[in-house]
Amino acid sequence: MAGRLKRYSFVNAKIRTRLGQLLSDKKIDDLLKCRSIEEVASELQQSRYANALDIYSQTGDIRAVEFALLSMEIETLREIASYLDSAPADYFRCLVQGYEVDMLKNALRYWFDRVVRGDQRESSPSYLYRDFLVHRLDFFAIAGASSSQELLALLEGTPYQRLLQRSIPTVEQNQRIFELELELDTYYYRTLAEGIRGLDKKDRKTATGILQVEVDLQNIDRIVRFAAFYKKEERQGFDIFLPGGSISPAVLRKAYSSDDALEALELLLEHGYRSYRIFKPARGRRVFDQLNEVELLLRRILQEEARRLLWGYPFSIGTLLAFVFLTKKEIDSIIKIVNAKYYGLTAEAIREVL
Amino acid sequence: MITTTTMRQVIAAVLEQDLEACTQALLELGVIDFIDIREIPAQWTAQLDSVPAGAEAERAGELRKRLEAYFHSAGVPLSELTKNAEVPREAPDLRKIDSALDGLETEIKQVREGQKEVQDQILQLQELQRQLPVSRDPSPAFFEQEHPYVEIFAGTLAPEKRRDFEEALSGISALHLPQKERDLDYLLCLKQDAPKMERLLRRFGWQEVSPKELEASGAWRKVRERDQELPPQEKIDEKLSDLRKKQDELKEQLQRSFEKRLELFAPMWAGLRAAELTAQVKEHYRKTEKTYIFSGWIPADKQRELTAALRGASEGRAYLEWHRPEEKEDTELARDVPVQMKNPKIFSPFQALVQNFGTPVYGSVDPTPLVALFYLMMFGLMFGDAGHGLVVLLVGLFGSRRQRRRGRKNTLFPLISWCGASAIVFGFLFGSFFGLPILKPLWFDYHAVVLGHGTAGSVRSITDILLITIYFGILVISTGLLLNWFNRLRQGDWIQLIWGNGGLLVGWLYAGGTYSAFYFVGREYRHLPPQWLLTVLLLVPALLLLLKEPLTHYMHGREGKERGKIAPFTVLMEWAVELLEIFSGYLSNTLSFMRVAGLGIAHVSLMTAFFQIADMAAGEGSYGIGSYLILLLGNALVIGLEGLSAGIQSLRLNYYEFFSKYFVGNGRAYTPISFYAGDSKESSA
Repeated sequence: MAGRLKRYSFVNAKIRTRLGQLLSDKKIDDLLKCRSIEEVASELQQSRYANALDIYSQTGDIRAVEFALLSMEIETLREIASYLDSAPADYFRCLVQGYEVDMLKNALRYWFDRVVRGDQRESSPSYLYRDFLVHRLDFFAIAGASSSQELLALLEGTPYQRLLQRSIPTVEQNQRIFELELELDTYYYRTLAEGIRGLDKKDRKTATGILQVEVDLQNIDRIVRFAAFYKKEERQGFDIFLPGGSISPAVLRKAYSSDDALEALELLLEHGYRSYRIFKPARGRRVFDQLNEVELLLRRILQEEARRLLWGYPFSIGTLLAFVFLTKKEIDSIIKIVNAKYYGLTAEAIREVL
Repeated sequence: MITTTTMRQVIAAVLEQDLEACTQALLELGVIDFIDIREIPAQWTAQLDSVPAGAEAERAGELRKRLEAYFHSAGVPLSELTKNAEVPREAPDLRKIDSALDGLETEIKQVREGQKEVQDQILQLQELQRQLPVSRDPSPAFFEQEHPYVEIFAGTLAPEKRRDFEEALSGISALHLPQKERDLDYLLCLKQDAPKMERLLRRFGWQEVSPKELEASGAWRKVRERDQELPPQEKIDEKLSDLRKKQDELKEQLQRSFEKRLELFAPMWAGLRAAELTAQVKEHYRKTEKTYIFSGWIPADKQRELTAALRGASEGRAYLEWHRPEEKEDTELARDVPVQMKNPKIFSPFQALVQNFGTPVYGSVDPTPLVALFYLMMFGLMFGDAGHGLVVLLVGLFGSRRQRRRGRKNTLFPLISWCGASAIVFGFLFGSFFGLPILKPLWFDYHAVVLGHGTAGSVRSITDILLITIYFGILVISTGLLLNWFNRLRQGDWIQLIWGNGGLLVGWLYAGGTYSAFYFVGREYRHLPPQWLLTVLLLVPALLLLLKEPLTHYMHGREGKERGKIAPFTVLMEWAVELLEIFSGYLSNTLSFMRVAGLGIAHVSLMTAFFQIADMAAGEGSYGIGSYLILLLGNALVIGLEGLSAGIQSLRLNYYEFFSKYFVGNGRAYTPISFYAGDSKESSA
């Protein structure tokens, strides 16, 4: 008890002072009503996002704004990790690794286009994280590596080197990077699950709850999309399930081998997600509309879980995870709104994806 | 200034034909804090109809926000848009404004596109920079070999075409490396730009030279000579710097363009703001068939002005009825009287501190001047150093100026300036300047006393310093009690005045307890005051307090309020607990002020410690850079840490020790609807 108190009292107090900085629903609604990015920036000028939005008035580049916002998201996690020690700190570093994996996937996609597919027209991604995340990686160098040997050399000393050593021949042979991306995702979720195992019982339960919904969300999304795009026999070559979800592997496999996407979705909801069986997508609509509804539902579940954690027992990882989740959600919403304003989408159109 | 501003309630009726003119007059004056007239308990008020809000007002609000956003985005602060605004006579032409704003939007979009183009060039150049060797002098092999992402062109260009070529090249992120002799050029660009570059080169009659020919001609050597003047990496840096300047220029160009349009858009802004506020005002109107009725609170000194404005606008047809808060029989309504704290502008940081705690109840004391006095005295006692104060004052002045330039209202920096000034004054009183006793102390030498060298004057030891702060605490607490009595007297709350937590009896006990304590200490902890005196000082008020419960019970009965049964044992127990609370509470409140001495002593001790460390670093000789660095860091640390601690502790003592004696912070702040920024034309001036 004293250990928990010592570990969490400072960081929780610090994070709680920031809860008031989270944007209210009304503010998000006001942002949706804005006509332009300039109005969004003006609405946010008293918030912590003011500097990120100001970048637009300097560069006119929404990618620069997105990058600044994403960097803020990463900084939140890194900061929390810096206030913790032992297993909770390791767990938050695992969460930071999620961004590292995403950034690596991004860089690898450029490498793949240039080196494997021989497309020289594209330049490397302009906005990649330069600071140290979890491993020493130069994403720009990775994106610009001229061969697979050079690429592997750049990954030396990281767990990704072994993983890529195994996968690159397949990538080159199949001219497809998708399997490698799946492997990286699986690696990340395994690492995260290991990070959770290091936590004590109370924290483990909290972190597992969040992880399960997140993984389920991704698995359902993948299964339904695969079922929609590939024929049953074509799908068998892909190992697409992420570990750590609440839906049993048997149900996932059964849904994956369904005849069509709709059947897969219904099976997953019926058997795999019992606690939320109350939700039943309306029949007769397009499968992606239904998938969208399911995604929204699961995101809402995650959000409610986060809000519940926020006001729960203060000396646990719950408040921190909730803050991280809500910050991530908020930044994601701002990025979507900024993009929507840039491309002239209506408030209603954005509301559907928030 | 002593109490909150006296308010009057107005109930006004205007004819339909005068509605717009009267609304305009109300907006211009900006003094009414509206209330819903239907809340006035009378039969006729319930029968009044609402005035429907038009969709135009919402549209005006949207357009105003849009206009503000565009100007903000162009780097022109809102204050520029609003500083000379007057309430316009005409309703705004929303369609025209919308179309004008579309024009602004187009201009902004064009600039953003330009900025984006430059940004893309920056990104591509950065990419090119990453692909080039880091060394200042890339080896010839670099130019010879095939690169995955960089295209290298080697060739010649007719001298007369060079200038045009350079201009045409400005849109491509390429590196042009012309030779000194102008007979060979290198062009480096990303592969993605190669087709564009090839087209350009064809247009300018570029003569390609193969690497082998190049080597044979000895041009490599020449390239290397040129590189030594400005290597490719540095040339890219130079180009990047030019591009960033170009981005800044685009931003400034937009700013200048918008500044020029202020004359056109400021009246539009005023029109939109007025339309929005007019709708807000009208929301508070209620109507009969031909008349519009409204009600609200205004400061009493504005009564004549408002009367004149409404009579003027309605050519004498407006009917006005005035009420004083004391006339309100309904206590709910009486409690709803808004509170205006009117203090000179220099006190605004302290008024903000009071408002941060709560808005005082209407008619009670406005403690702002006293908070200013006590806060600054506490700060000065804890942070008395003229040098440190000077730094704090400069930080405050600099911050205030910066905030003013940005068009932001701020009370923190003025507060910091005040604190700096107070520290300077106390620095002179204590003879301290950056921890050095170089000033002649006007009161006592704080450093000497803390270090045990104080031999002159009335303050010679740390105990004396502690005693000063206890006296100061007694002064603050007694002032709080006096203010409470004043408030209760004004409210006619006799029970609370005599028996309340900060009432006369508690004051009597506090004075008696304080006297007895000093008497006891003054006689070396051996003698208490004589028994008869103790009886008068402590026993009598304590026994009188026993009457509180029965009296309250009796008064409730007289006023017809609900009251439970009264049991003697409960009365006795409550009395005992209350006495305990009074003694322990007031004792701890008074001793709490010793923190003022504590922090002051810590300030001196820390400075002394840094001087000793600097001495140790200097050894036997005179001060070197190391010693001065230690002193610099030490001073910075003391200013930062001690300044923050002193500021927080002063606030804490005001909020808990001072406010808890008299302050009831559940008042409602006076918020009139006004066209002008702030609450009214006067306060914004």
